[in-house]
Amino acid sequence: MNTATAILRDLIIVKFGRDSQFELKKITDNFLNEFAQFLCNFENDVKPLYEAVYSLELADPEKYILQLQYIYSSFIDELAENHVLGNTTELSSLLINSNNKLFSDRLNYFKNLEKAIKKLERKRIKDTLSTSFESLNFEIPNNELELAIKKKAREDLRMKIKKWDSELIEENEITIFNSYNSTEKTNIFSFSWVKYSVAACLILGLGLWGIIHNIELNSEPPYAELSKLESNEIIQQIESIRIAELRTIRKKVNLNESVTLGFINKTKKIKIVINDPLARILTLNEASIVYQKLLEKEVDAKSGISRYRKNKVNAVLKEKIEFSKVELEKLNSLINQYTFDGTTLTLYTSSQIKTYPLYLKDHYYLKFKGIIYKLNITNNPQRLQKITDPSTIDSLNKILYENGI
Amino acid sequence: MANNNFFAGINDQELIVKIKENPDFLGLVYKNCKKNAIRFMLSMSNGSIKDYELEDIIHDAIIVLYEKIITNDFVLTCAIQTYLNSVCRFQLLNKLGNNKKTTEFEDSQDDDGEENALSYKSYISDSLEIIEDSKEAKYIAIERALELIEAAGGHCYELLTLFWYHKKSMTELTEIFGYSNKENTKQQKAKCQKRLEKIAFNEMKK
Repeated sequence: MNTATAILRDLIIVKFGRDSQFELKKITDNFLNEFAQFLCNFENDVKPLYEAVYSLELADPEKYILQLQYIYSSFIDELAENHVLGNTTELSSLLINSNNKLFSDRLNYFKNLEKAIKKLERKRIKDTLSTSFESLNFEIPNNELELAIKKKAREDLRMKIKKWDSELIEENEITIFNSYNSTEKTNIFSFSWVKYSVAACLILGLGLWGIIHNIELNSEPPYAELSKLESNEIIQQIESIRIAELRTIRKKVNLNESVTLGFINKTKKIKIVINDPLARILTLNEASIVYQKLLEKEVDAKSGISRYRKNKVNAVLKEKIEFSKVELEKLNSLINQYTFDGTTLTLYTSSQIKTYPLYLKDHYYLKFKGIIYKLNITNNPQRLQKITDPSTIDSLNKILYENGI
Repeated sequence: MANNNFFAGINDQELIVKIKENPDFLGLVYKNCKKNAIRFMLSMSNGSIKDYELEDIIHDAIIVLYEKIITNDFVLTCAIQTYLNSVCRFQLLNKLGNNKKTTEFEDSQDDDGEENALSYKSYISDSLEIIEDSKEAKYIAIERALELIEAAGGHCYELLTLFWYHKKSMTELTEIFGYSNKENTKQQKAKCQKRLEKIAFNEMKK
C-alpha cells in the first residue's frame, strides 16, 4: 500500500465505517487505487465515484455520496502535505501535471506554511541555544520550592482569614464586646490561626521537602537521570503527598439561659460538633501547588523526560489537581456554615474558636468570635446570621454575664 | 570514530537520538562544540572574520545538524565536533569565496587518522537551505497568523511546528499530546490548520 492509498483507506474507514453494512474486506488495494484515481478526477466526473460507493453495498450509500466532497478535499490536503514534506507520490505528480487547482492551491499554502514555520523555529532554536541545555537540567532548588510553597500557602490562608473576618466581624462588634467583657477582646482567632498555620506549614513543608528531595533530578548528568525515574516511582511519590483529614471535635456544652428568673431546674446541654476543614484546606492548597509545579515540569516539551512517563504521570497529576480543586471549592463553601436540629449543632469552622450556645425566648443563639448569631433549625448547611437587634444582643450578653462567661 | 566523544556521559550516537527526541539537547552540542568550532574557524580564516559572523556560522551549523537529524536517514560518520567543523568550514569557504584568506591549516587536519577538536572532513558539504524572505501577501499573512497563534497559547502552535518543522509523525504527536489515537491527532491538527488559515485570511484582509 502506498502513501496515497494509505491516506485514502483511513479517510474511507472514518467516514464509511459508520455504516451498519460496511465491510472492511471490501476496501482492497485495488478498490483504493481505483477510488484514488477517481478522486483525482472528482471535479470533472463524479460518476465513477458514485459507482464505487454503491459497490460497497452500504446501508445508506446516498448519505456517504454526500460526503465525497469532504473526502476529496481531505485527500487532496493530505497528499499536498505529504508532497511538501518530501513524500511525493504518483498521484501528487499526476495532480500537478493535470493542473488540479485545489491541489495547486493547497500545495502553495502548505509550502508557505512550512517555510514560515521553518523560519520561526530556526530563529527560536538559535535564540535558545545558549540556554536550552540549562532548561534540560532546570529544577527548582528544594529550599526555594519549599519557601515558595510556604509563602504562597500562607498568603492564600491570610487572604482567606481576611475574607472570613470580613464576613463575620462588623463595626459594632467592639462596642458590644467592651460593655460586657473587655477581657474577651483578646484576639484568640487570629493568634491561634497564625500558630496553627505556622505549625501546619512546618510539618507539611518538611514532608514536601522530603518528597521533592527524593525526586530531585539535578545531581547527576541529565540523560542517565531522566530515564532512571520510572513513572510508577514518581506516581508513588505524588500519592505520598499527605492531605490532612477533616478534623472533627465533639463536645457537650451548657446551653446558657437566664438564671435571674429562677425557673431553671437543671442546666441543659447541647452537643456541638465542630468540623474543622482548615488543615485540610491548607494541605490541599499546598499539594495543589506541588502538583501544578510537577505538571508544568512534565508538560514542558523541553523537559527531556520520556513521553511514556510524561503521559502517565500527567494523568495522575491532572486527576489530583481536579480532585483538589473540587474538594477546595466544597470546603471553602462550607466555612462558617452550620446545621442544627435543636440538640446538635454542627459547625464548619476552626476548632480553636470558643463557642457559647444561648437560649432566649424559645430561640437558640450562638456567641462565636464575639458576635452573636441566631440559630435556625436546619439540616442543610446554612451561613451564620448575625443578630442586629440591640435589645436581644443586650439580653443575650446579660445571660452570658450571669453564667460567668 | 563517531562514538569516541562523550558529552555528560553519553556518546555522539546516543546524543543524536536524544536530539531527535528533544531539540533542547542541541544546547549540549552548542555548549561543548562552540569553542572548538570558533577556534577552528579562527585558525582557518586568519582572524579575517568578525566574531559575530563566526557565531552566526556556528548557529547555522547547529541548525544544519538538526535538520539532518530529523530527516531520519542521517548517518553520522564522524564525531559531532568534526561534523560541525566541516559544516562551518564549508560555510566559511563560501563566505570567503574559497580564496587565499584561508590558511594551510585546513588541509593538515583532513585525514583518516584519529579525530581531534579541530578535525574536519572535506567531503562534508552540508549547508543551510536559505529561506528567502517572501513578499507574497499569503506568506506574510501565514507568518503573522503563526505568531498570533503562538502568542495565544494552547497546543496549536506546538502541534503545527512539531509536525511541519520537527517532522514528528502522527504516532509521535499522539504520544506527545496524550490524544486517544492517531485519528484524533489528525483531527486536532486539521482544526489547528483551519484556525491558522482563518486567522491568516483575516490578516490578509487588513
